[in-house]
Amino acid sequence: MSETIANLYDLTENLDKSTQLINELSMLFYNGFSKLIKKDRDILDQLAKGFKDSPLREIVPQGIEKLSKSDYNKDNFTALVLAITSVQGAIHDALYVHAEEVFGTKTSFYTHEDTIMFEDFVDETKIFLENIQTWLIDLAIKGFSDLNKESIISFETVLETLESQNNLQRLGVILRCLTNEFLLVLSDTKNQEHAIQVRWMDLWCKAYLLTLKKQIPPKGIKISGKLKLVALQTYTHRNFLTVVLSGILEYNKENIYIEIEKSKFIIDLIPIEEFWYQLNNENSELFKGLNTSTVTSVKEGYLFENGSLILKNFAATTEKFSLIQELEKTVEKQNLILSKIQAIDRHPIQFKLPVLVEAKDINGRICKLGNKEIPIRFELQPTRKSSTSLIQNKMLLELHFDNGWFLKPLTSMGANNIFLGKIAEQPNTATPTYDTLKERSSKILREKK
Amino acid sequence: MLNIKESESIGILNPPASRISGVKKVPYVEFHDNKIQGVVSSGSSIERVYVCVLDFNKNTFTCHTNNNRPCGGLRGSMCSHLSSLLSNAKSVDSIRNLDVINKTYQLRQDGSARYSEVFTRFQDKLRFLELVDADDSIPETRWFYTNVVVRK
Repeated sequence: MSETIANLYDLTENLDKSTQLINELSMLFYNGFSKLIKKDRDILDQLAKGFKDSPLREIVPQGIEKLSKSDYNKDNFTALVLAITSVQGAIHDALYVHAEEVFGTKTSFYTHEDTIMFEDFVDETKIFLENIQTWLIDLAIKGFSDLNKESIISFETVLETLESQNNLQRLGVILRCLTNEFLLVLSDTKNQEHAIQVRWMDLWCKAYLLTLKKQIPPKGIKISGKLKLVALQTYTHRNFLTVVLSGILEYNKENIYIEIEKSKFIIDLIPIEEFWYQLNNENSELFKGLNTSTVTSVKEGYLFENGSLILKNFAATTEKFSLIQELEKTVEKQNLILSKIQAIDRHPIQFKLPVLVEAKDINGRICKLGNKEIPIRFELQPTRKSSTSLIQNKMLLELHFDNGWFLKPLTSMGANNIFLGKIAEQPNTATPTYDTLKERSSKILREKK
Repeated sequence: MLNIKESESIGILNPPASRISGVKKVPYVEFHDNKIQGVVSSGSSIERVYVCVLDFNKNTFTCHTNNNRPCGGLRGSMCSHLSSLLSNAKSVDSIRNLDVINKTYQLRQDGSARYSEVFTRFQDKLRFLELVDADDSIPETRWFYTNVVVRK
């Protein structure tokens, strides 16, 4: 396995070029379209040329050329967004192809007819979203380097309206988090490298894309089967907590790598430990399977093309499984069906491949494999404390790509103890602030209506 | 996490969670736009709260219900709701050390001022509690660095 992973570094030239192009475009967004210089126009030209033989040839090159001449029409920005997201999608696909070549096994994908559909927004929403487009375009013209607090704070009212609409939740989450990042960075220092690392351009593009058409949520297919939960990741944002459980679902005699995501909105009036406690309590039956390496019996679940699993009816069982044997059988032998990312979501960071690595190869934040050193990144999981998924002498990690390969440890369990933020340190038996404000919200907000 | 200096610069102060000891009496307190403001519970009804504001721009204080009715306890001096707000604010680390906290003696009553936006801000916070927790995958949530460290 070590040698195999080390071979991942033999990236094709095209992939390097595309990644470089994306980085340069990120810098362009950072500096702003109002400050284009010849080098920037060359970058845009390079982007446009890539589409001369593609189905987007009628829209993209023309729009980008106009943008290059400072024509800030919405249609031109739309062309740019389509181009950038297409390049990101192509990098994503190439990463999978490359990984397949390196591992020597054909990665199979679980697919079914669950294509995402789009439809036009109704008039009222359309106007509202056009205002958001205008705000986004204004940001791009001025550049992220020229952000100011007033323009971001003035967007707050729009954001709150957006968050109150269920069908626009995804857009609301992206813009809420993005504006929070803007404010955080504004209060510190602006930095070009940071703008790339935090993928502001990508998030800007995704937000813009979501204002164009309404995404009809996929329905998923109804499944039942045995589920073995193998790992857990936690994410703490300023506005919500997310727990992602990874597992192996036995379905139709195949092993499918799935993820179950549980999120909880948080507010700063309540100690975060109380939210962790709530989240832990609400999902205790599910976490039991992970804590004790026991099979979770799924009686009714919905599996989506992207590997996301939503459970409707399930129960913990007493059937034990050996975690190490399960991972050796599936992850190590590549006997695992991976999810297929939907077209709208294809982005290099979405590439992920579970890998089992010898613990001895890991030293601090470096995994030494053959003559290569792959960094181990923790940035996305600041609440996790210590334990990675150490199973005897092997560790479970996910291989990712973000301007280079890196490994992300999957937090796992100790004996009967899932690490969920601070809750593991101080198991709480009460959530006084949460309970009080929740009671108030039900009374006060109901009265408001 | 923003420190107070940064927060002030954007006009918003997020009180640290540790202050919540008196949440039943004072569910919401913040320093915003040079005002110590918040929401104080009515002793008699959970649906009713008082909006209390110590405005250091106008050097005034006021207290009114969420329905904009004046507080009966305001008689030229601070009512019990304002006292509770102030007392609670002093337990907030980031407010305790502000200069203004020692200048409340300069404030005079403005019984007619209404600060419905304070109640709205409180409602906006509560609104998040009512949002249904999502099972749906939002992949972008994992793109964010949740502990942003700007490399200098």
